[in-house]
Amino acid sequence: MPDNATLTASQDEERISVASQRQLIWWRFRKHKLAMVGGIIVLFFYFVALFGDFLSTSDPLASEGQRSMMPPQSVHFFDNGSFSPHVYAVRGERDPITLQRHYTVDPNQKIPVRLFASGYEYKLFGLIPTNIHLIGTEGTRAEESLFLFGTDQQGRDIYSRLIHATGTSMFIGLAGVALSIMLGVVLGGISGYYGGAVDTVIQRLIEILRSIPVIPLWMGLAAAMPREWSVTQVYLALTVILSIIGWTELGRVVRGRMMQIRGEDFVTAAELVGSRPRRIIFKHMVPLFASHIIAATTLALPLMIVAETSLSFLGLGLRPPAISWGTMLQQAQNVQAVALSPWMLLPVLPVIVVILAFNFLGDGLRDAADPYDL
Amino acid sequence: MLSYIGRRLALGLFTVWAVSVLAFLIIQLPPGDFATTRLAELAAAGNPSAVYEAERLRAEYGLDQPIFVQYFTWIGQVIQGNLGMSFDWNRPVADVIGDRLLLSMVVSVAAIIFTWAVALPIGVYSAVRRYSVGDYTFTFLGFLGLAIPNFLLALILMYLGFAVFDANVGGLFSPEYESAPWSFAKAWDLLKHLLLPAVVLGMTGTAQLVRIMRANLLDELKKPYVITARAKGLSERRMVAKYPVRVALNPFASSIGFLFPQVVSGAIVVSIVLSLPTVGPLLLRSLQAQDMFLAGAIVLLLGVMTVIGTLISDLVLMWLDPRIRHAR
Amino acid sequence: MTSSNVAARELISPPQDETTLLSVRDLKTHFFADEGTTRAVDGVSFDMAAGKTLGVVGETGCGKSITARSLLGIISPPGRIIEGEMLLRRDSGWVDLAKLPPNGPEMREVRGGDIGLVFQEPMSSFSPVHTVGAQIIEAVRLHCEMSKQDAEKRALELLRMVGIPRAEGVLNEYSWQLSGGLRQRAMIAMALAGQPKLLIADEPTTALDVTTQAQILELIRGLQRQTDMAIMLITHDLGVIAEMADEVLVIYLGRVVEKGPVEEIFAAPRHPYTRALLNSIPSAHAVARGKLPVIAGSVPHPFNRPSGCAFHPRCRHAVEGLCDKAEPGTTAIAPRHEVTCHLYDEAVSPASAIPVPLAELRVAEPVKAEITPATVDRTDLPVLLDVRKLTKFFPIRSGFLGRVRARVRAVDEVSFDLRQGETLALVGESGSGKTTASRAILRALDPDSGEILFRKSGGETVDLAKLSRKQVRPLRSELQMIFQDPHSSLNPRMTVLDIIAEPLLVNGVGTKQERTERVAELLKLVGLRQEYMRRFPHAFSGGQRQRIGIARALALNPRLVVADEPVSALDVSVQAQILNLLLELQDRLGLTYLFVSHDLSVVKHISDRIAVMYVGQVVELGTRDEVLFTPRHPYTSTLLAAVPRPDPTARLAFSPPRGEVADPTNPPSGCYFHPRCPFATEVCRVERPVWQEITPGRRVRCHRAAELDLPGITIGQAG
Repeated sequence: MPDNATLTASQDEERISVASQRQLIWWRFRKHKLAMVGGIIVLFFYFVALFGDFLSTSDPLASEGQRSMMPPQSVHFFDNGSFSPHVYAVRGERDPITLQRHYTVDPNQKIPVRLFASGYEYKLFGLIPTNIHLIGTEGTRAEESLFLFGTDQQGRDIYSRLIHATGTSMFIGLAGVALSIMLGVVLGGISGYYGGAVDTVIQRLIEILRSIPVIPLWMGLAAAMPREWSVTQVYLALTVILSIIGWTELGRVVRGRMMQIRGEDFVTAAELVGSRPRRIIFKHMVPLFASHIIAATTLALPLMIVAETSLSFLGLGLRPPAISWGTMLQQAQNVQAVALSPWMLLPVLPVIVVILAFNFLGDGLRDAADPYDL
Repeated sequence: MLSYIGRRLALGLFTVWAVSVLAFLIIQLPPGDFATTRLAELAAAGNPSAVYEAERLRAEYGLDQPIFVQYFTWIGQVIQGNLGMSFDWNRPVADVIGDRLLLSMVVSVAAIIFTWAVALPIGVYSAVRRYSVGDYTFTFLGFLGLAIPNFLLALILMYLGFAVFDANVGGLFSPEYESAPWSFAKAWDLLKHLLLPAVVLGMTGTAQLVRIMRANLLDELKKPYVITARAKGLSERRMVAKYPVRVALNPFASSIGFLFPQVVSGAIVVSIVLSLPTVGPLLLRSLQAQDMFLAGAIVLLLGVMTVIGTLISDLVLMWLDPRIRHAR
Repeated sequence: MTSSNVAARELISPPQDETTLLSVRDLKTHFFADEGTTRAVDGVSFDMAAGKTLGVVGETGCGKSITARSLLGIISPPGRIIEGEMLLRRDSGWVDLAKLPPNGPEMREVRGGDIGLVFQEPMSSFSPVHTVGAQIIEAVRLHCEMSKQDAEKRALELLRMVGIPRAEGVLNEYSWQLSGGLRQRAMIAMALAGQPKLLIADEPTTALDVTTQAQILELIRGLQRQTDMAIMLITHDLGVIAEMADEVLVIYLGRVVEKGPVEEIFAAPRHPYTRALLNSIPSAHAVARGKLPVIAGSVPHPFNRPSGCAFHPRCRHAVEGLCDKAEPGTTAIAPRHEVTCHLYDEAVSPASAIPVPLAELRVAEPVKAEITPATVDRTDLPVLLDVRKLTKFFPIRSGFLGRVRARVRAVDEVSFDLRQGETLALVGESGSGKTTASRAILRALDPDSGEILFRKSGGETVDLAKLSRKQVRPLRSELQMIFQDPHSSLNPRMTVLDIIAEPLLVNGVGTKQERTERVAELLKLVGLRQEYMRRFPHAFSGGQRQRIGIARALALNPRLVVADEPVSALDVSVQAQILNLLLELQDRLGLTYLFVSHDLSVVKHISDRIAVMYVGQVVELGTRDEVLFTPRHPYTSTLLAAVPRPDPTARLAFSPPRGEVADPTNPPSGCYFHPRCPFATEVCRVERPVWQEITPGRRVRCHRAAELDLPGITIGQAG
């Protein structure tokens, strides 16, 4: 009577047999090369976001009219054959006719660049006061001499601003998505678990929200924020605005999955052995759609980031002195200015890279998450 | 079938109502009522009729009434075709919007047509030639298309146009037609200028639709009716075109439902970057100037347009899919 | 003619036999993937003759369908025909289908023109967005030069030929507007459009109810008589084979293990696999509650094909050092009877060795009256469950706000009782409400009305229907369920230990240590090794999963177990293992079963009493022998007649019932069965029959129950 087809299980089979669903997902995910790359890039961006001040060279708000629109400097790694990274000093003067500033490089004046240099004062994680930065200059203030990506109109260091903007934009996405998840999971869950009239109402609400063009609405709501609000208030209000409309997709995913799982026999089986609803939901249902939620979240994050970027770009989202990719790009609205100093377009790069990375990651997670695909 | 149309219509009306409430909210949100704002502005400009004007507005819109009465007064006016006054332009909102709404539509529809025309063949190709070099190329391009927000694409193209060709690629008309009355030549000029905005706006949607089409078709290709059709003796090419592609078209068509709001949305920001004479730049300016009647009207009109577009796509879907047509 | 077509005609040594239509020799179709090669079809040879039916049998994954698709050249990548000949006699001469370019014009002429295909899922075999007519007309015009009008006329003819009433209407309808039976008829009409000489029917009736199956089989047989087609009938159901085939091909893991005339295969099977298959059909052993001989294990994935003879790990006659090493050769037993097994190889074993006495195969012997009333008389046992007028309707909602448009009368005043220690089978076709009824009894669904009186272990009786879900919870330990789908019934995220221990855990039974011990004990009870405890469900086969489900159901020592089609998702050989287990457990633990099934042969084997359901109502209730041998309801009699018997000598002329199962949202007036009933009178059309008791414990819902003398299964048929 015993099934002996699996009696001769090899070691490999044994390993798979006792693998939990989570391990199986991880194994499947690992096969997804692009998703792995995406994951690493996303982690890198959050690393940059966390260590913003440490990675910056200059105070992102330090402005100086004397050095506006300075082009990026190139770093020279060798000095007469020996390893000694340095940049050349830059002198600026104003063209008396066009009134534009022209910058000339002075190859004789070398400014050494070194790791773990001291620079402006900041608090690591907002707690530990320090002035150590990953990269810095020696003998002169970085604010005056080191412009890896050039400067903007106010003469602020674009490299440092980009690093800080990464923090803002990555976390505003996270905050918005967190709120969306709460709304999506709660409303989608209610809709899927109870069904009936509640479901009908929530479904109609989702359909309506999905058929409204969101950007004009976002713009309208964002513009209605009082001018006197502080950066933090605007930040919070913006995440709320973004998530009020952004939860629908998550809500749909959660509901669909919930309904599907509810129909599975093992849920009925759990009910029939006397499990209470709470155990059924948390032990049987949630673990099954958790991976789907993670995947959906990963795909929702870039949408939030784009939304913030576009609103701030239009001047309706975050406002200076807040630094985000959107506020930085605001300066690039003027084509003439961009044509003269193309480095103003640099923030476009991280936006595209991070969205691409999130999409790869999310796709990989979604493909790996399906437990019945064996 | 009638129940389906009725359902979609009811949902459309519901959506319009929801948008109108949101539009009203946008008008109402700034602190103080708009008469006060106007009063302050006029008084600052030294206009003696300010108080009178403010009183007239208060009476017309029932500003001392409870908020829902105000909503009904406003929506009543809107239904009669009175969208209110633009304080910023000091002209009726309808005049200010003018044919910009039409141009917004033209741009959006052009983007949708582009999306369809490109996504359909690529999607079919990618599914039929799965894992071929072409499929991988399109998949990669699709990822790029998804990853580049359309206003950034517009920005990059503007820069390239300016830096490489030294030409302004923005706008919808050549300078000589900008304020000319409508004529065949002007329409032709418009068509020539439409390509760039259509591509920019359609990029994301195209990438999405290619993925949808590819996935749908791959699913359909596994279905038994494909084997039946093959077993009948149909040639592969005819079989694919007639059966699985035809079936995969249905979810593809229903994608307009989300594509249209998305394109209308995107058109706002893209229009601002490419300085197209659509409602986009107008909306931005009205919001910056707190010209709330104009802003509210634009949000409302865009909402209504989207609903109409979605309804049309529902009807197309019904025409395409006999299962919907014959549903009780 | 292209050069490849020439290649397809050259080098052919056509069969000399005049009647041969198709000759397949050493066909190999393999699937190539990164992980390795799956040899789905690995050396299959057979001949087919006009007017004859070849039955192809084998369990899931044995390569039956791939063989059929290879003939049509519609193997999709990564699959490829790598070797072999498929010689087909066309009007223009012999052609080797294996050498034709698969998408070339000649192959396309063959498809639909020479070979027609009908297969399992009539629902999805038609395009949902094209009318049935358009698809048939297309098939007609692909193979005959014809105007559209003529093609339409021909399509109408075809639809009439396959017995579709109001064919003009069907022409303009979509497949999803038709019932399952009509759809399969339309599918056959389309397959016949090119007037093929060979019809491949791949599990043509598997998705259909037994009465509809009888109609379709009858139709196929009639068509064969009319057109002299050769038919290749692929199925896992030995009853269908016995009923239809002239010759039989038994396939195991891509190879033919035995082939021969149907009478010989059923009367004197040679290969151990054929024998085991025949033995494990429940209906071959009408002795109620007898233990079925089983084949150990289950079919491995062809990817892990065992070495030597692929069947050796499951074969009880396997010779160590031989069967696991060397591939067996083919031995001719009789002129048209061949077997591929070492046991018949003269070089290995003594001439014509038949190592097992055939006596153990009942089917090999003339049937004696072995169908003794083996059921124990259990009328003196106490009633455990008494269901009275149980009713459950499902609303159909539609429209914007989801108003109720109609109600499905899923369970419509169902009454029956169940005595302690017995097995009551709830039998019916799809949509009869048997599953809904069983779930309502366990309160997995809330019934609309009626009583479910259950005698608790203390002796007092409660009405489960009146209790709230919370109040039912303490009673859960006495009522358990075994599910149909072994994949859906186990949470993929939990280990076997967690799954089986869950009932204990939520009811607060024992410590963790004690629970683990109990799980080990339960695993042993259901025949699984306790080392499997830490594994996840995905590591198990369907049969093993079903055992895990049974262990979970038994964890709390229940008194009533509802088994909802517990074996219908399993292969025949595994089915027998599970049925044996259920019977053994009942004897050991004194369980009471409510056994829900559509399969009468399974029911025959396992039940003490039978309740027959039709469109939400129980129409007949009685002991197993009463219902099977002397049915009193015309529906029961029809149902019994429609089941194909695995005995080719006992082929009966079918008397398939007319029409289709009634629509439960809008049942007919009077007796629900009257439109299909050959005995219906005026009163049946008007008046609803009552649930009358005709003899003690025997109830029928029929106006004419007292006067009718209906046929049941007879002793001769039962074999």
